[in-house]
Amino acid sequence: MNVFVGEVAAFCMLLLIWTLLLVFFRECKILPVRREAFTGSYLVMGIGFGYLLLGGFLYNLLGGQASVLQYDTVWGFGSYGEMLQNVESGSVKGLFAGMYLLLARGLGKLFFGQYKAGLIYAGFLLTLLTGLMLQGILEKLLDEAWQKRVWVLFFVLPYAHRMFLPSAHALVMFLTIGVVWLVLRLVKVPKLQKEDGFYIRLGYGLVLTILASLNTVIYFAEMVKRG
Amino acid sequence: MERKKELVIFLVTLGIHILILLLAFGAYRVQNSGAGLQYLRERFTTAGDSPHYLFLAREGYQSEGDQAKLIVFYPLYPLLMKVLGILLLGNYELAGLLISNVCAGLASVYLYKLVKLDYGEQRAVESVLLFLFYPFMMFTMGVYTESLFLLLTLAALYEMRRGRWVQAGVLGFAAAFCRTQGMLLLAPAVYEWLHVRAESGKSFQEYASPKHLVILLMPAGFLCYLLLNYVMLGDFTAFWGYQQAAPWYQSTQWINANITKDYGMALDYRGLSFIIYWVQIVLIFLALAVLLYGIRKGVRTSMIVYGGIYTCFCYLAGWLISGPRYMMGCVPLFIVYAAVEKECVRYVILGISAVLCMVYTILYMQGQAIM
Repeated sequence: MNVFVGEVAAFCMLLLIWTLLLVFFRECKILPVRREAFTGSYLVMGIGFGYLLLGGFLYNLLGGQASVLQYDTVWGFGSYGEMLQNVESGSVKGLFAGMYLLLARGLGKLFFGQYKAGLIYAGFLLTLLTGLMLQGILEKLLDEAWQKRVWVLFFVLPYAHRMFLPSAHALVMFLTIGVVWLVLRLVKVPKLQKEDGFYIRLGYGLVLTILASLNTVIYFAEMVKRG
Repeated sequence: MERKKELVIFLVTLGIHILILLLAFGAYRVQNSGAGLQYLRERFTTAGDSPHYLFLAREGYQSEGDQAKLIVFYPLYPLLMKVLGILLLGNYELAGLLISNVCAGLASVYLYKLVKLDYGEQRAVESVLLFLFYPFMMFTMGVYTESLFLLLTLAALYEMRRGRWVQAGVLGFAAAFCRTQGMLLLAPAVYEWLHVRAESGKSFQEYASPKHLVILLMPAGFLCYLLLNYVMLGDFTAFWGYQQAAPWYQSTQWINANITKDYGMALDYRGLSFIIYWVQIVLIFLALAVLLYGIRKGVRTSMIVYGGIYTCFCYLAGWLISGPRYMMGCVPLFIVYAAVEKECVRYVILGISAVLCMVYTILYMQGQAIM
């Protein structure tokens, strides 16, 4: 519990810093930050925090008793465990994993040697930026209602939880979305006008819930296989 | 007319100090009927850091011996005590008490003026009352730097809101010469400058003026303190060595580690938990929630920036036992209070704060470990 409370306090401080950063960009007219950027950021953080809590909950169901945000216990297996072990030494195999680790170490250094927390913060930061770029992409491609729908869908895709865990997935998604975002800034594309109605809403709701359920099963399976 | 109201605020501050003191002392006398006024004097001049400030005012900083460790205390407050103490024929205790209480009165006046800029007179008065009934306000009465620091901080914030950069810079310098957190005033000053510049629609070259550079004096107050370290002990960072050793055991850690530790301490030391540890944990969450609420309610962002950076800085301390006292310096919390629209909510908050203020002042009077 004490680790959980400590992590939540730090998370709230980061939330304040991030909000102030967005307000700064807007008020000082450095970037055109709109209301959607704020709500999008809070949603990404909320989703990420939800995934972390879910992981802790699953671990406590399957593995043993630990504070739900105790990274090295809850996610200390497989590639996550490897990342957690290597973040302090700073060596890891693979280009993306190496880049991710570098960022995590930088953040860890900034937070007075909290390297393991740095791994999680790096994932959150990259996913936040990914979420913001995705908003920009969808704004160019879809009408307003569908922008929000597709955006939410993105965060329940199978393996989406990995973007918030100690792995390079957040970096890969950040780079991929970043490239698309950059291309769409240069290329003019027509905006898709999607229909709306009873079946569309039902269909979307079903897809959303099925994907979220599927992702939960995948997450659960990862935890089961950890031994 | 306005001057008269400010004088009333000043006098009300002193009146409330006396009232709280008498009530708490009365409560203490229920348990200890023999306690006289001498006890009251002792509580406010011999507890916590007070003897250290009195020593510095009398003897000054030392280059060697055990008292050399007192370099960890910033010089402005003992310096003022020294000057006033000489005028008072060597009565440094009285000098310290006078400085603290007068500064508390003036701090209230500046808070009133600052809140009034955005929220009008009525809410400004309520903010001042909340400030005066902050549960750990007893430190503004005794020989502590609290009042002086609060005055300098509030005055600097007020002057930067008015766009008086020279005054803000000088006050910020003094605040940083009074306590480490003073240099943090640079952040709201820079933010306010950028914000006002953006609102004016002028370019950097058009808006900037050489006198604006005075705000860079703010961190210079801290640099002067480092220089004092060098002059007295031959090391610019000598204070940090002493901070890390007994009896302070200070370190710097990220908030997650500190709050985790606080939580553990709260469970291990139940006697102290409601005086130190739980209070610190509650206060960080409360402060962050209030600051986020402040953003939502459109409170001036430079004030929120100060509140955020101040809270973050305080909670980086690896051995935080004076968190409740330090958080009194998070003055934007009192500004956000004024942004609460429902009057009944504001009064409920004020009432709760007054109750807690009396409880903790009585505990302080009893000699409990409120630091």
